[in-house]
Amino acid sequence: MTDIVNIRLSKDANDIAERLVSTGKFENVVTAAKFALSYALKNHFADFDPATYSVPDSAGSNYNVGSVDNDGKLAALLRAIYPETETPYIYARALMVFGLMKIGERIALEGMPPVSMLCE
Amino acid sequence: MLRFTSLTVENFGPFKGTQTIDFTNENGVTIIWGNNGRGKTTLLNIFRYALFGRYKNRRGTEVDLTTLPNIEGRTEGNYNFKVVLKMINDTTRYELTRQCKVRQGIAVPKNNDDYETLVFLKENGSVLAPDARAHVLKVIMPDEVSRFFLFDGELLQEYEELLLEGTEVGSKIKDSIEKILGVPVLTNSAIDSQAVLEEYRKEKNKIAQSNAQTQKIATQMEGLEAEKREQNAELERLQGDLAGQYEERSRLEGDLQQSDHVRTLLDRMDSLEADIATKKGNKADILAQIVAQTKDAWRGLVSYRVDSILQTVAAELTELENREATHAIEKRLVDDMKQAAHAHHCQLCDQDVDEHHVQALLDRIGAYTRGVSGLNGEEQAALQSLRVRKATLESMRASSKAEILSLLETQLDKLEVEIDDSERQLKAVREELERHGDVEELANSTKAAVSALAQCLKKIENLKEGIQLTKNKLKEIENALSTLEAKLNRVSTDVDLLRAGKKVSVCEQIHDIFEKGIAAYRDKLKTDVERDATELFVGISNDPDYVRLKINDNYGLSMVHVSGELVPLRSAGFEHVVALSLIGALHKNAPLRGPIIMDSPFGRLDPDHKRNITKSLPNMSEQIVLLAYTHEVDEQQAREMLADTLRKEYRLIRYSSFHTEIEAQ
Repeated sequence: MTDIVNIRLSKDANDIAERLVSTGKFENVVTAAKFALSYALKNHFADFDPATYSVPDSAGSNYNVGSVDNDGKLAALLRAIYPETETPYIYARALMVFGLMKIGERIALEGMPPVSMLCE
Repeated sequence: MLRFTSLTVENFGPFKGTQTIDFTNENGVTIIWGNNGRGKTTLLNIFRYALFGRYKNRRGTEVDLTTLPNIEGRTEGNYNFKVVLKMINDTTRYELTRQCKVRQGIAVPKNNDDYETLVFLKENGSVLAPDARAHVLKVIMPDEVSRFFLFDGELLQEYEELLLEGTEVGSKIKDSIEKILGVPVLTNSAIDSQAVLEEYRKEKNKIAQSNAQTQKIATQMEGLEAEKREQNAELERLQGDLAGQYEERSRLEGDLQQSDHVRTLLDRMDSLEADIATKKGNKADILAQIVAQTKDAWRGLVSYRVDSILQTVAAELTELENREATHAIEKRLVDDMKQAAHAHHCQLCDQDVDEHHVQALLDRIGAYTRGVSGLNGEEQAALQSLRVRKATLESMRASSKAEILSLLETQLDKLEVEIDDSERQLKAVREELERHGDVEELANSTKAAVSALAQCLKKIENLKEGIQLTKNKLKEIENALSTLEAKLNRVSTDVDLLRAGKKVSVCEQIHDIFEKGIAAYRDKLKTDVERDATELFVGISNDPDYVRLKINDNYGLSMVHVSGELVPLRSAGFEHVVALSLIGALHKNAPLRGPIIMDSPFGRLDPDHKRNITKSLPNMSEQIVLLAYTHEVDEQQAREMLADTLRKEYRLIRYSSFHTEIEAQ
């Protein structure tokens, strides 16, 4: 299976990433999306399978993997975490979208939480 | 007895929409509670505006109509405002409406001319004509005495002026006191008798001029009378000019005070803007630090998962590596045994190996070869993969950014709260500045106002000097007239002249009776006021050594110590108590009875005095409306003190900076 070369977020996930950016605490949507990827790995590793996750839509912004992972470390990490994968960027997209949606659920419930709380 | 039954305000001051305060028909006290800035003084001024059509600030300067509509109402495009005051005077019902409407064709009023003021007074349901309306209002609540019915606690210290001789404020208050006490009934009679006397004197002079014997004296007298009229007219003109200059001085002082206030607001605005800019700069710095942290935060955040997977990978790797190491050792041992069997010599112990032992070695080699095997190809690949994964995972380990982010976000939150607070203050300052109109123009006019005030003060001095000179001149004329009058009476033998002289004499005696009556009435009033004020004062005062009040010719009241000594320098609190005692006594002795509306009258007083005054309120007038800020007087204590004389309570509730609601308790 061929991996993707562009990461396109879903519309809702993109909106949440932009909300995070609008706090002024994230440099851009990519940073917020990578943060959300880690958030999903930290908190939903057991209950989330990026291999089977279907991203609801591709109406969000589109980012070349080079701009998301210019040193390849993200792909390497995902390969290390998911050794069976040959498509780390498909996983990355799934984790980003899922993580952003989960953060979105927290925002809806408790308002915009401090980033430090999302890190805990 | 005049009594207010309700007040309805519409889009007026802080009172948005239409709001009504209902007063009771029963004697007693209504308390309207409200914190600073909620509209207590505005309510007092609205009563004044309803009755007299003027809205003045504390300096007595009239304010522009454009500043009176509710600010939120103005924002919504409503610049009209209205007040309806319902009253009962004895058994007659009145409804006074004063409404300011923006003239047709004007979208945003810029000055008073842009407003049309509508005034209606209904008497028992029928609208009165303007003349009748003015007359009724003058009878039921004359403007001249309103200070005793509608008073601002902050201005009670003015009554101290009554203890000083010849002050402008003291003189005005004395006039008001005499008006409320009904002295003008007598003074007007004296003025009328004086006018009749003047007529008789003219008649007498005319007769005297027709007689050769007295003609010369009469002509001299006529000349002096003409001069006297001239001087009186001049005195009147000077006094009128002086009153005008006093008003001008008050206006200019008000303008300057407003300018000072505006300058203070401008300084405050500048300081807040600078403060906000600094804090926003700090906020940007902190945000930049946060952004720097969140850029790599994903690595710290995933570190927990990396550690957990790393443990599994390391365990799997160890197992495979252990197997690989064991296999290597065993392979080397087999190789050594093979070498020994082949060479019949063991290199490890440097001993020859005989055939029997060679066979044993070959058997053992066979057994090892069968029992031990190395990693297969798949395992080798897995080992390689695990090594790569382990290296990758180890390289991704990073510390969490949670702590540093928490610290930065706490600083950011604190700054945001501070910025928000400063911005709200700035908004309030800007809105207040906007209410002052064109700020720059106001600042520029300050210089002109200072110069105008200096000129005004000079004019006042000149006018005072001119008035004194005119009075001296009049006295000279009066003396000269008296001398000529005596001479005329001595030389006069003409019957008509004697008869005219008799008329003058009788009229002089009548006038004298009025003058003496006025003096006697004043003395009686002073005695009564002194007695009633003392009674109130003793009830309010918490110092038993201050046994009574002593009144002076200006109705000023001094406190008398038990030793009989006048208390020379009384405290601000006692000034307040004495002023309230005077007002209460005036109400007891005035022919005109009406409600007292007092704004923040407890400001300077200690708890004992507050309690005593609260208890005395029902004795001051049949209807009392007290405007008090929360904690100015203890609410529960006030209810207990007033008991069933407390008829109603309202509270001024803040909805926003520019919206107060009057809510019944």
